[in-house]
Amino acid sequence: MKHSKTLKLAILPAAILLLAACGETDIESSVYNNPQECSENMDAAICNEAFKEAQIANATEAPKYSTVKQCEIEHGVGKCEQNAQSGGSFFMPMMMGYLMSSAFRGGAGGNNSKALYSRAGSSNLSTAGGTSVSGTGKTKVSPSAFKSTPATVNRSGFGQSAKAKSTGG
Amino acid sequence: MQRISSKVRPNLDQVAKENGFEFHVIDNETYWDESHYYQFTLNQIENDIEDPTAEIHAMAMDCAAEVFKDEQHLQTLGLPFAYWDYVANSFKQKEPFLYGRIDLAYNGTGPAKLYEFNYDTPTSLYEAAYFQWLWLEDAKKSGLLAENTDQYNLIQEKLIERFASINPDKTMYFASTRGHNEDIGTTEYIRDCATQAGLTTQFICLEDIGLDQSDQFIDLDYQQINHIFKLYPWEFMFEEEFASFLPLSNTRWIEPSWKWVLSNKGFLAFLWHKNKGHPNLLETHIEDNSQSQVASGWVRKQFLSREGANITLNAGSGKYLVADGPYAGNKTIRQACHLLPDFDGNFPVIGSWVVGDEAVGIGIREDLTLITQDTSRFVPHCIID
Repeated sequence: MKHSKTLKLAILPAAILLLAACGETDIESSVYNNPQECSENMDAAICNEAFKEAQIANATEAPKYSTVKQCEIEHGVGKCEQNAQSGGSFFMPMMMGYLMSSAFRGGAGGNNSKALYSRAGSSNLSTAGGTSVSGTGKTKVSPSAFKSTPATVNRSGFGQSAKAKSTGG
Repeated sequence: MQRISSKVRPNLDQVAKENGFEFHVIDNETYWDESHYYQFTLNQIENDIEDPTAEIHAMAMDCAAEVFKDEQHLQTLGLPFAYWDYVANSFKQKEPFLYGRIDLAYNGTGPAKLYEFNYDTPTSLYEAAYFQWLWLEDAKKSGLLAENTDQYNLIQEKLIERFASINPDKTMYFASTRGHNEDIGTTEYIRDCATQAGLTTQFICLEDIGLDQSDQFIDLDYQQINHIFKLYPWEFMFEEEFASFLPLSNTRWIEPSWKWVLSNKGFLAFLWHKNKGHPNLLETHIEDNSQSQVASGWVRKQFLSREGANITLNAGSGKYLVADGPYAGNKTIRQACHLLPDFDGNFPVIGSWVVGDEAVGIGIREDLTLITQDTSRFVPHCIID
């Protein structure tokens, strides 16, 4: 006999229904350079709270560099500032704006608003977690954009060609 | 080899759904087509398909070893210089591979002819390995086919065996790109096989792979990715933002990067030159001038193209076919024109699966044109002796 006697599936029907992580839908979000710009589109109080949450995220999650040069290589000349803390000083990129999820309802620790930084050689801004956005106003981002980030991480470095071409054969 | 008219299961939609086959209909067109099946004799399968497949695979591995001996060959194939060492080392270190699909033209008699290797991102796997098997079981149960009807298909069984033999004892990730449901379905099926082999697995969207400060690839929870299966072509990876970090990272990829060489159609010219006149090979040359008219009796293919895109075929006597696509501008080969057989206006191509180094089964895709494209239908087969 040239075929298998018994075959089964272990995870498939359920896994496909969930469509795994790739099935996660993007989150409706907005990008603003400052709370004033935001308040032209929605309630000013919400705008301010989202800005504050992004500032808190900035303090804990912003990438840190020991020299200004290292920081400028990543974020561009003139886009870094010194930050002195107990036990030493370091350089971090300036917060150039913030990314807020449409799920933002105020309150602390919601992880629904993130600081944005410039990237050397690019007009896009990106979060400490590596989510890149272009321009201001409404956008859609992967849910991973709002996860808390312990260190500098870059994402979306693979997979871009799939938009234009077939991946299979 | 006969094409036989058959009855579609009345509950096909239900069966497909219950078995996770989300793309049996694509853009409202039938993709899984059981209104016919192909019937082979055991002799046809064993002598004309299985043995030649194993032989072609062995010749390809020998030929790959020669290609990697001389960097000039990598240059000829168009591999960017920055990845010569990376790709050559992955071959030298025998980085494990899972599978591949060899596309053959065969009409029931005479030697099957090799069209190309799909050795990096072969698809139509779930259909061939699992759903085709299920079709046979159902056909026997319903009395459509006799109880002793056979099929050339050990694909899934061998995939599980193969995964068990390369079990890395660490999480193996499985990646494809966001929104490509057919690819996600195939990737999840392959992950299913790995799970059955006892591996710890996790799916990740290719776009969600991160790069940390020590130049290592990480998942969404910042865990290092040591082993990953990707249903995504190497030639795309080499052009993307993270490409330069591939040689720096410790990540092992399946398929490994050396598969880039075998899925490159320029490789078919190397294979021909090393095995001139082999009955299963079509004469193939790398072209000096990709702009010239394709001469009668030849087919022009791009080094790197997929799903029948950018192919020009001149069968002579006015039979001139062009398939457009996004891959133009590549280097090209010319391959001796050997047309697919015509079964009532349908042109089947046989996808012969190799898992590890073993020939393990087939899946047939049929199109209404001589150039099989992503619009083709998958048609099941059986063996009746």
